Amino acid sequence: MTKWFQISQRQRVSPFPNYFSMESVTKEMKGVIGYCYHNVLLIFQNNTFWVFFDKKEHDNLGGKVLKVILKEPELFKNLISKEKKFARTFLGFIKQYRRQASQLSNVKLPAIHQRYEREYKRIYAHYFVILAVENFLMNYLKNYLEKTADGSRQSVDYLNTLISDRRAFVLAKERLAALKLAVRIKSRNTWLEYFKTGNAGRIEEKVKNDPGLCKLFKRHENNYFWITRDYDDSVLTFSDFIKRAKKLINQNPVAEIEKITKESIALNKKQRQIEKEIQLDRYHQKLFQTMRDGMYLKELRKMIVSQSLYYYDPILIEIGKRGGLSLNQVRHLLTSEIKELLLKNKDYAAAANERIKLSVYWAKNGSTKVLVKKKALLLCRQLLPSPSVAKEIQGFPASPGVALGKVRIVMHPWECAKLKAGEILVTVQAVPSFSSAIQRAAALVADGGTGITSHPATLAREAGIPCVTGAKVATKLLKNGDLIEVNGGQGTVKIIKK
Amino acid sequence: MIKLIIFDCYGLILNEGYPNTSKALARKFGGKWQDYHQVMYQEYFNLAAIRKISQKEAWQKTVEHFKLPMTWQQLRDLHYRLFKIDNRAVKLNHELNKKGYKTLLLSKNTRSQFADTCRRFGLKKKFKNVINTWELNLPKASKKTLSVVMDKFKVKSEEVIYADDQENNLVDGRNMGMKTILVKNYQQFKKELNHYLYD
Repeated sequence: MTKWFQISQRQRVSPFPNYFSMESVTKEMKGVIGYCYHNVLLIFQNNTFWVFFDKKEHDNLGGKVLKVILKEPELFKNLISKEKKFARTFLGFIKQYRRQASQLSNVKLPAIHQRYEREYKRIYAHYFVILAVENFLMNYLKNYLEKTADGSRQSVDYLNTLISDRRAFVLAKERLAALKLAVRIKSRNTWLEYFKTGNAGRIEEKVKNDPGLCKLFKRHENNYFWITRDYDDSVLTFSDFIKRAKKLINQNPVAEIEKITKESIALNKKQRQIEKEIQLDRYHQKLFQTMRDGMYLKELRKMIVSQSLYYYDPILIEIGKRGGLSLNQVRHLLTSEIKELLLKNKDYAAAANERIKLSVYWAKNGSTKVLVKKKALLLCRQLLPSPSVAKEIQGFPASPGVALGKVRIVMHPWECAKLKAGEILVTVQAVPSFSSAIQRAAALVADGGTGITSHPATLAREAGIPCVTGAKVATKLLKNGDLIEVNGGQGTVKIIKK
Repeated sequence: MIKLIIFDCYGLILNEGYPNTSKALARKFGGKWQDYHQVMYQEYFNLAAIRKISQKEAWQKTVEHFKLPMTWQQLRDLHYRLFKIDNRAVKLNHELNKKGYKTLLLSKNTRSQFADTCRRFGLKKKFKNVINTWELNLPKASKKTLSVVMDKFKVKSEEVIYADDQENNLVDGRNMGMKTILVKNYQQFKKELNHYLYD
């Protein structure tokens, strides 16, 4: 009997494009690394999902991929360059059609959707190698450090430092670029004058009338509009960047840039120091670099997917319009069903609604079977964790440190404003649109995420707060106002007072 | 002694306006009705009620948010179609007036939507006193709004019963000393009202 193992959990998501992802790891991934999974389960309930892998298969495959990486430590470097190449074709193709969605025929739309699926799967199959192996590689590196460093506590600190890569901190990267833009504005009196007028609308008007400055903002917008995007979250607009620039101009951007640069230099210096201290050989230096590349690969995939989803929405909305379905309903259909909807006028509203309530997408060797009602309920009861009366939740240590504070459960971006400074943000999966709340939080606890390379972990480390991921039941067990202690080094959440 | 009874319009006199529309959307397009309600009512129509956006924009933003395959006009028409007036509550209002109690129909809605609703259900004929807080440029049931109401009717807070189906609308009234009824259904509302009036 298959022993299922929960690998991820997220809120505000849909089967599209996640079932493509799972199909790709049960087929296309084999062409990338020589191995792939055979069975993956995705459970969806009102736009929250849980991903399950066959435990035996996952362990087996992780071990095999680790062997490949140990033989070929530059693997992720190659995957990164391939992903960048694929991204250009993928995003270019979607951009080509997004503006003319309403003019596309009922024959052309499913063909575009099939191409999206094909190209998306190629990107995902190359990315998933890191997810398949990250815990194995991490354990390998941790064990290696434990043998060489002084004590396990020190080895955890060393591991955290040696795998940190500023390329993976997208929000920090955007902030640095925005600060540089602010410095350029400050260096020209005419530009600075625009920002002295109080009203953001008027500033925007003036910037738009100045071709030079407008070009700089457009470029910044083009590079970073997607950083808060995640399925339904809005993207950052030209106006948002103007408002941010206004704030940054008043914050001494030169000093801020110096601070960030110093931090970056300090991280590099610390990494070199550790390498010297534990006499890290060239081969293991390469392996740590591989882990850092893996983390960057994760961010790169996120950038490609976030942008592709944004650019692709008009196509899905158009499909929905023609079939009388909302975007969410369309996102619950398989590619073959979209074809039938458009070419045979088949009504999928009831099927989509049933799937939104509860459904299991079972990916097997590259194709998907959808289960609903009793069959889905049965699997759901067997697999989904139920909150117990435990006083402690065990998750993965994702960002070190200990914090005590009151719980604030945040599931939607609009709930972020409710979080007061010093509270502990508890969610299913932290996404970039939660970043301002994460900055105010004392710690972060996520039901989803696997460890220090997951998105909540990256966001928490950027904010410098403790984080526990993979808590599974935290959002169900905890209530707003409960007092908890989060230990990000040990991956524990202690309930102090309910 | 009770002198004034405030009736919430959408929820007590008219059947759960936005919740009904949200439930209809959830039936048609899937998902939880509470999510539609949160976005349509709590987010956009609350903004329209305090004039930050227009009513048209609130409909448009709802359609855009959920990427619904309908126009904003179709959504608005669906909303109106789903309203039903609770004649038991209207009758009760007449009886209370006959017994000498003052009654007020309190609403928080945009001018155009409230005017449409009044016309459709003849609310201004059925209720002697009607206030739409949008016209006061005040949020519904805030201390300031309730003070304006008390001044208008020359009553003290302890002489007022305020009935509404949204708990957050009752908080300020309760803190000011009003008697409040959180309306779950008509029967429960009438029972609690009788308790305040006659026990």
